[in-house]
Amino acid sequence: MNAIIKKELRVYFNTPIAWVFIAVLMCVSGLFFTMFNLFIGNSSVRVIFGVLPFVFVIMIPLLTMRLFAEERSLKTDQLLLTAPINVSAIVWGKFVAAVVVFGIAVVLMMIYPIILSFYSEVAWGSVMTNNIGFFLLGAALISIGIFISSLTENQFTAGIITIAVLLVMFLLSGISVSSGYESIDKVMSYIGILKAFDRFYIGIINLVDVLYYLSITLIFVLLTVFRIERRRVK
Amino acid sequence: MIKVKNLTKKYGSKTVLNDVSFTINQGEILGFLGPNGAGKSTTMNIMTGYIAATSGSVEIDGIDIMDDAKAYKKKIGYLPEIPPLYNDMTVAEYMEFVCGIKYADTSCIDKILEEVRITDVKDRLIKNLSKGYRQRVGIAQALVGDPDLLILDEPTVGLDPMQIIDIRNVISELGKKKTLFISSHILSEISQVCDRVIIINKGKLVAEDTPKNLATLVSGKNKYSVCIEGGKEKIEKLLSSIQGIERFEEKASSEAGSCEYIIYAKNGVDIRKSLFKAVAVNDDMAILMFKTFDVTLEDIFISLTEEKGGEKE
Repeated sequence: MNAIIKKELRVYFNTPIAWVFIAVLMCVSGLFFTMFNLFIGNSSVRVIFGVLPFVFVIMIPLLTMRLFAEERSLKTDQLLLTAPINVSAIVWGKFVAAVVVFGIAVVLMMIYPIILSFYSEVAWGSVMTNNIGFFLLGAALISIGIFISSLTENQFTAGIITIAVLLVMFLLSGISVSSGYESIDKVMSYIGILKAFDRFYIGIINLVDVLYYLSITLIFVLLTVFRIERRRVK
Repeated sequence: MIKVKNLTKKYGSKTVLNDVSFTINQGEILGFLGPNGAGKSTTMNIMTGYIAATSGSVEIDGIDIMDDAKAYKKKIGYLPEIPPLYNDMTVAEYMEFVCGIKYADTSCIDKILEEVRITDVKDRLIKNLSKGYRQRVGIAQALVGDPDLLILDEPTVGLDPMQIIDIRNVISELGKKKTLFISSHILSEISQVCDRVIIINKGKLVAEDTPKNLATLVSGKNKYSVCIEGGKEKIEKLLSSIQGIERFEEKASSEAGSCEYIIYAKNGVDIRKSLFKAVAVNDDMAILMFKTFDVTLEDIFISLTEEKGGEKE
């Protein structure tokens, strides 16, 4: 698995992907920080943190779209799948590499509360819960992106489908569906992936929310493994 | 050492491989011939674990891929038809990565690069390498982990003649140490390096033998090409009078005052002496050119695939 992580990180940083990802995240958050903290003189980082999940939805597909689609189109999957390494090690390796790049961006964003702490009191507890929430949300979104990448040979198709799927999940978080059927409403609320994040956002760590994100991550990573194993037999 | 038993692969209702069985013995170089689309790559992909067979089994030294995929895959090095290279890596980085996923020590890299003669491009990006070099990096990758068996899918396809000679040299060097399974549709190449050949067409094995035995299999008739100086009528009369000749066909002659023929001798009869003597007694005739047609793998291949293919349809 280490070899896979190392290779993926090398690709991320040898190509513009990781740099663009981090730069866009920093630009957007920097813009909001300037507008809603520096200009107004507000010490709460809530505005930036509130807008970031939407940026993730747009940007995470950039990290995940090529992971399996490109291997397939370049036929390098023939190397991976005929080597004595498990498919699950390959999938987890790619997942971890994407989470590392994502994590670097999240850690860099700590610069905003640190700047604010020079001028006023910062609610570190809330900053921390937000960061934990970011990691859990990011991991879940990445696992969904990886799964979609394993479905196609074309990385741009994978990227566009991932953005579409994540957008739907994002939009469903903001509304509560009342279809008249309780079960449908419940499923819809599970698909609304940011609902759980809202509680991290206001500073609450709820075990159910943590498990929600971890289980989404696990399910999609396992689905990817299953999908790749399955394709061999097809 | 490798036993392929009753491999069948179906994509939907289309049967790509139909009950293919063969063995590869320790230390031999086995050639795998067939036209494009015959099922060569499919067979190799199944043997290396890239895809699964619909039915049938493959085992290497008694290990079935279904039972212990890891131990099985460690014994095989595979060069697919398109070498699986990452363009944005240098050769050294790539080899390091391959060592990682094959659980091999990176100390073997220098030796392998030396062996396939790519030490000089070690620090270059793979995307900047020529096709011949890329192919060699592909072979280098297959050698990582010191596998007993190397499976090479069309290793010389798309290379220029110099590069082909290069790769062929590398392959015959490797053949001294490893068991090789090489596919190709270029028949002369296989007959040069292989101890034994299997031929596949439309998903079915049609022949399995040494290149030499296969040649005798098809060479029912001995074929000669001659150019004789003299009058056409007289020459043809003479040829008809020679006992061992079954029939002859006239060919356009390149020299004025002479005639060229393709002569088919009767089975097992050597007509060379009698033809020479018969011509020699005529003062106005002389043999200008006389050569035998060797049966090439091309002939075997065409006759086998056409026959069996024709049968099926």
